[in-house]
Amino acid sequence: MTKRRTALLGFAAVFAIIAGACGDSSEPSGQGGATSTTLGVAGGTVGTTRPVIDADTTAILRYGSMQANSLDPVLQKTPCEITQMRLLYDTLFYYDSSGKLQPMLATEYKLDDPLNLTVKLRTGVKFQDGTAFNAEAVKFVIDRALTDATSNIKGTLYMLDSVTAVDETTVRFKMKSAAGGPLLAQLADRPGLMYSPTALKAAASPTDFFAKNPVGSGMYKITGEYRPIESMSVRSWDGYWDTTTPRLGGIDMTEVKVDALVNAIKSPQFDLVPIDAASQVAGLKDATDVVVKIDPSIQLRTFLINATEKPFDDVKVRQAMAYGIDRKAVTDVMTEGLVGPRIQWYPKGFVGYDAALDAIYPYDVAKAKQLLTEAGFPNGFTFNAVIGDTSTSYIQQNELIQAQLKKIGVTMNITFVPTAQTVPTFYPTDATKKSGVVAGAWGANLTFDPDAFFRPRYLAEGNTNVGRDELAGLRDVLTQAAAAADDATRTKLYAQASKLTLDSLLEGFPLFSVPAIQAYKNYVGGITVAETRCPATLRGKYITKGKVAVKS
Amino acid sequence: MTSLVPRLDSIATLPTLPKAAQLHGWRRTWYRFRQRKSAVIALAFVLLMVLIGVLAPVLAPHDPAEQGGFSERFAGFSSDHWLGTDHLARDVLSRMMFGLRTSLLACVLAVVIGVTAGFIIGVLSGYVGGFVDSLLMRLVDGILSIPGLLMVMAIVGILGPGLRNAMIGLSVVFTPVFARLVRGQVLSTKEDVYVEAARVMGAKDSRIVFRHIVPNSIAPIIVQALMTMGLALLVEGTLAYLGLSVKPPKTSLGSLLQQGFAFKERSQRMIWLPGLAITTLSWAFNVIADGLRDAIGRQEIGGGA
Amino acid sequence: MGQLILRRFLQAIPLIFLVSVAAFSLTWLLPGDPAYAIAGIEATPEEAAAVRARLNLDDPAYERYGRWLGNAVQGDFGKSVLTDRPVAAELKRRLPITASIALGAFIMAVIIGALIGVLQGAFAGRIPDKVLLFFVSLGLSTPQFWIATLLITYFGVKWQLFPVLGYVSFADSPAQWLKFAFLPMLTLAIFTWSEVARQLRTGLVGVLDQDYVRAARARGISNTRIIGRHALKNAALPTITIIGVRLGFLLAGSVIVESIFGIHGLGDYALTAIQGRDVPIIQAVVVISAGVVLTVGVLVDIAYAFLNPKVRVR
Repeated sequence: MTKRRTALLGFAAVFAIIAGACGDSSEPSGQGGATSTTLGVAGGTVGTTRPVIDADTTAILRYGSMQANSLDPVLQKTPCEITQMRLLYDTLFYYDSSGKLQPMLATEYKLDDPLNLTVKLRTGVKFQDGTAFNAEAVKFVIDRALTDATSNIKGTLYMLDSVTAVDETTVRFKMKSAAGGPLLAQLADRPGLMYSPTALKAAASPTDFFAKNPVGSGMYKITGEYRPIESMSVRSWDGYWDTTTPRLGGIDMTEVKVDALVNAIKSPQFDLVPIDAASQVAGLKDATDVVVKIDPSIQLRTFLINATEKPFDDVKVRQAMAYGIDRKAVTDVMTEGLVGPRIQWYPKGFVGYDAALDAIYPYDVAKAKQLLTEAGFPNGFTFNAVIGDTSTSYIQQNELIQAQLKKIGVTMNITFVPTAQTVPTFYPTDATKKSGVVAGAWGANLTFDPDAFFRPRYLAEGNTNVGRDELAGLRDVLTQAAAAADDATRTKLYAQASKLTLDSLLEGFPLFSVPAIQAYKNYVGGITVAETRCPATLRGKYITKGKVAVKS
Repeated sequence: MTSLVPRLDSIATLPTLPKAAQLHGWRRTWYRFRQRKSAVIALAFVLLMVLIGVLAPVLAPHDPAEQGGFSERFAGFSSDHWLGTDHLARDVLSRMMFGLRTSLLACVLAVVIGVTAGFIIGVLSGYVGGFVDSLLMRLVDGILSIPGLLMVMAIVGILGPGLRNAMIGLSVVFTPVFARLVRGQVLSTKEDVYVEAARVMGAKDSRIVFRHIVPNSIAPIIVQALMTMGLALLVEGTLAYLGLSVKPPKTSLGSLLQQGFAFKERSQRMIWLPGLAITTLSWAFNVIADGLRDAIGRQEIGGGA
Repeated sequence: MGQLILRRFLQAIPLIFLVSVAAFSLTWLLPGDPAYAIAGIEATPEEAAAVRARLNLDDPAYERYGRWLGNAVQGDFGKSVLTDRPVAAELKRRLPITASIALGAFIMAVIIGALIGVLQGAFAGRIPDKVLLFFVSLGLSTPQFWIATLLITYFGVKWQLFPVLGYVSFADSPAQWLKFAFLPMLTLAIFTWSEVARQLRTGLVGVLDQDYVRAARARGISNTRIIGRHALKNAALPTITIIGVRLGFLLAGSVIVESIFGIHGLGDYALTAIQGRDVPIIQAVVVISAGVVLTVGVLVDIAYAFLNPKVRVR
């Protein structure tokens, strides 16, 4: 693995590597998977990996990103903070790096009927305060996500009616609508993060608990002071149930500015950093002890369109945008040619992919112009695109698009909003109001279960739906797909959902998938798939004894 | 600078003094300014840059927004692209020319607004005195007590990022300096015998302001304005670095430098070219200010700037 | 003397008040809805409304100002909108970081600036003056973020002499503090020492031009002695004023420097707050830095009065 640079591999090649790497995945990754979520029987333990002999269990990994703004699973402030949370709290299930649902704190599950899911818990697991992890704890945690006043993840559990602790190790989830797949996906995500109810109740307040001394059942325990979006340290916890996954003595995480990351990993101060801009990889060429790993990620860059605003209320105008933007050129520049362009949300191998969509909207200036003429804009038009003011790479992306759209007679002006205000700008507080945003450079994180990706974006009640408009026909398809018990049906239905979104282009379209680039010292092991900072899996990473280079 | 040497070392040998002594006012200043080689070079440089900036649309070899192909990015110096190409394969020279134009215009505007507002406040404060004076000076002190960059950032925060708003913020920060300067000039001029005499003879306030106060203040204001220009260029760069200045497709020297930082691993040239442009230009303004100050002579400047 | 100090402090109080009103109204005008920043991306309108209610964001501005001022006087600056953590505690943690770097830079700037200025004064018009003038003008015209980047590239990454990121407090380890703070201090100091040098040179040249100095020189007293004995003290006066003003500048410069060197001080706090429209933090930082600048102003006045008895009478 030393000095391995997968920089020049295309998408397909990288996926092949991931598929091959399935067996020795040492970390429950949430990244870059390629196969479908199964609703079959799951069992076994997480730690079925080859034991790593040379890991130094006292070494501290210094990681150059710390974007957690909240350590409370029910209070989501940034999508990135799950990176830190997963160190402290385990989830009931997890997705491995091939996108397969695997057991973690839960050992197996069974769909009793379309509306009832029974989950068996791992026995003998303790929280870091010594109290037992059991069905009551699961019920408490899930109930809090559903009912707590501060919870802003209630929407993700839209299908859940109630939770019952059947006995010490059995939990039953009763659903309002048949959506076993999406529910399991959530139990592997934020709502499934388990923390100690006893410790939470004992703390002065939940805010205090999560800000000062959160207690989970994770591999690592928080130490020192946690400073939101600044720094956080965790240390190995002796009582952890999984003794086979390689571990570190601890992890010191520090937030480093994007421009400083290359210098950070070249300096002796850091062991592992995410690299955000592909152009920065060139700066690591001369660093002999640094390994650069590049893989596709689940982060997409998109061209956001609000179909309720003129002139984009006409589907022909939206399609003209899709034909008139040269995604290949944008992708080449933005990723230094590391990945190919993307027109559909999900890549090959994922549920949600539809082979028929690969040929949709090729770059075609004549076609774009013709569609504009048909829509009544033979001389083009002018519109405003919104971007966050400090998002340099979004600005570059839109400069490219600006020049391309000029060729079809469309003038794109750019309006800046404070980066921290982009979300409320795109998705106003008041759900009865639609956003004034007409278009913008935006991103999206794919989810292994497409339900959680499509629902908030395309259904009227969705909170990341820029026009608050519903994509006709999608609700039925999503409902059927959520209830579907077999993979074939799910695959077919979600492909259908993808087609609906791309035919209508209601929320715009994807441009490319951001390459995940990680740079690390050659003594860091356990990295099978490169991840972006958001989210990243630090569990399972290790440092070799004596800091010798990891052998591939 | 050169005229200072003899005065410091020996009074006897003053080669430039006889002719300088024959000249008066601005002609003398210009004569003395010309003795300073570095200041003259700096002035010529600034004038050249201003010319380039003004004529950018005519002089630029390419459309600054015109993008080339993927393989034409980060190209080196060539006959087609004298300063190479950037991350979107655009012509760097043309972009620098337009950037220069934007930066100069914006900074001149910020300084002119700052000088005008400062002059009005300074004259009002110094000439009217009393309650108006203390009120205006408290305001000026208030602005001065907030660190300049923080102030500009806060103002840009309210008005939204963009070059125009950045320059409005800058002019607010510059105003107090000029207000104080002018007030000081007014106060000392007011005491002068001839102003006293003019008033006794029944001269109107406006006449006193324009006949006596303006001419006396103009030299130190110009020196201060030139130094402020140098500073404005730096601050524009800083604001651009923080993402608070121009919006694409417009460019300024600062925004070119900021974009350069994102690609510094690919091409160091993208930081060096705009960086050097800002530094030399800002430097030239400072050298001119220094030269002019020395040329005018300390007694006319009235203390430190 | 005591009366002067008291009077100057009393004069500073209405100014602080003025600044606090300004800071409050500035931030009150900031666009955007902070409720979302707190409630999170996935928040529903009800949740955002609850946040607004909890933070009294819907009350009239004067009421919020009154409440804010009442708390601020007691050292409570409210909670950060984005992180929900008390601002005062963060200020307490961050102020010493920025202060230690600004002070270090300040000392560096005064020593080096004075040295350069005196040298220039002594050799006015000759080669050493011209060479130094070149560097002084360069220092005055190079953007700080560029200096910082070059220092990191060479001293940090290429030669690995200094760490490129982070900070260790002086109390924990003075040696480590110096190691971490050196490049940031240098970045900050370059502009300021250039200013000090320029001012001092101008002052010295002016004093050396005075009749009594010319007379002294005519009597055969050396330039060096004149500078040491007479000129320096007189030239120091305007220089002190500049130095006082520059301390505020150093505070502002820390925004850039802290952002580049990954130091979590006041400047970084201010920048993040302005970018995130974190109102309580912006208010607190503006008022605190104005307080620091005004205090330094008073100290400068006192030093001025001490050095120049004429002022005391006024």
